[in-house]
Amino acid sequence: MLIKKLNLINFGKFSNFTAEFAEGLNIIVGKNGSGKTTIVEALAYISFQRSFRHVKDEDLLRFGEKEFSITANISNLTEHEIKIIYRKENDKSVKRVYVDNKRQKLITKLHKEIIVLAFHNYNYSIIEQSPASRRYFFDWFFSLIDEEYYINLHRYKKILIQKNKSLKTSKDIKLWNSQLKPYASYINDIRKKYINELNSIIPDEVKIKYTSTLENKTFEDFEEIELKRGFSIVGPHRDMFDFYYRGKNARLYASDGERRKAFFELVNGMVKLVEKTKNVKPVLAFDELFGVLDKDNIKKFIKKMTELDLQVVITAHSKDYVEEFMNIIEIS
Amino acid sequence: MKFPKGFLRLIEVLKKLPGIGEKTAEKSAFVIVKNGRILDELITALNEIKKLKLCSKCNTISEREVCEVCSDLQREKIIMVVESPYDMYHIEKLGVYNGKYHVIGGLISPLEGIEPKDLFIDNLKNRILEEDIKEVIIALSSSIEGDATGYYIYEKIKDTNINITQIARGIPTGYEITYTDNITLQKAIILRQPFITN
Ligand SMILES: [Zn+2]
Repeated sequence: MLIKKLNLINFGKFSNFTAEFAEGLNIIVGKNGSGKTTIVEALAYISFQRSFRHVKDEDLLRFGEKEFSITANISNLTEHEIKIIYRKENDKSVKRVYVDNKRQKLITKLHKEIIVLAFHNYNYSIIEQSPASRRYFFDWFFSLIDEEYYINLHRYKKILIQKNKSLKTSKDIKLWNSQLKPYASYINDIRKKYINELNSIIPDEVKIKYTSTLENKTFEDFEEIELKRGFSIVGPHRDMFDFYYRGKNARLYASDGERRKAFFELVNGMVKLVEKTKNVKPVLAFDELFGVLDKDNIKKFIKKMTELDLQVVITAHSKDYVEEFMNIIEIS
Repeated sequence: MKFPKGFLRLIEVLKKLPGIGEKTAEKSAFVIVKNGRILDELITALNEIKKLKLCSKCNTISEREVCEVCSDLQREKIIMVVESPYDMYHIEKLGVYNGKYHVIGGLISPLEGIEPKDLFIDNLKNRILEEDIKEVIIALSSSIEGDATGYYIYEKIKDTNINITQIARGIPTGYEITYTDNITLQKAIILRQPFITN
């Protein structure tokens, strides 16, 4: 899959911006604050239809505007134009997706066509971040490749809000646990499945360990303590994802270099998993990656990306490495 | 300057209605004061509404102690549990159902402060026994709150050993299968039914 052209209207800092992308490696060069992250955000938005950094839609609007649009010309087996329009009206907001000018009934339908794996600054240190940010990361990725996972997760979270409220008020914990149960077990199963698949793809020295808070336990086992504490302490929203490097917890025992290596193995595994499950080549986007890599690693990274034979978009604030890239987009 | 007491009281009363916040209440109160005709119409309507009550059996809005439907001896010994009198009205209008109803008056939602005790669920079991009901159909919306409320009701009445069913949740008419999400599609397949030939 290939993104050929991107047009942004009232998105982020842009009132009207167009960029064309080439096959292979693309680099966007611009000063800080020039909108590089916004472009990566837009690329990710095409495939996820929401921010990959958990930014609210209305905060993606250009200041003072009420409507933004993202239009992308993509080429898969055939050419398509994808357009996403978001409009804010008083308390309501509307989001519409068009493929070749035809309105799509279900936004998630797009997942079958395009996958953009986009990474931002925060992701590069995912291994040493908080458990919650790793959970966010995997939930984002699994939602991207599996619309059913997204729907289940979404529903689980909505029920969880009711449960947490009820723990503080009516104490109907059994009722809400009964509602959570099918979604929780679905989410657990799918997480296990995809983590197993990722582990079978990435080299043995890097392993991802998924720990479910409901392993060999049920919601009922925690009802008493949850009632006492007034908030929920088990379920997929408390599960852990940890990285291991050569058998040791990478968050605690791996060097920066080893963690970086583990991260790129993860990216590689994600690419392969997308190819396997979706039968499509993803587009990769990295925001400000060179800031966290030294010269040697930048060279290695570029070589590796070239070998992957994918469309890759990278943002940078200097032109240091542009000669390695097929296509240079300068923004000011 | 101070607003007259009656005006402030009107705002406070209006704010108690669902979906009406401070701003809307203030605006509406001013319109009522300004426009004498609206005031008269309101007074007439409110006086008439005073005569209305909730049916002592099914809790729908009724002019009499027991509503039309509950007084109808021809009705089958089935109770359909619905959220509101509007849902009851809609189903009634279809003309395909000839049983009774039970309006619970909302859905359980801790977020909105609605607990089971705020709903008309407790007297359902008595009705099942007293009216010799053979089946209860749960016809609540397919939302998180609807599912939870349905489950709550099921738990409350399951020991009566009558038939408890729920309306089928399938693909909305006019929807293409490709555009239906997998959960809805799964439910539609699991809850499949004999082919209907009209
Ligand atoms: Zn009645």
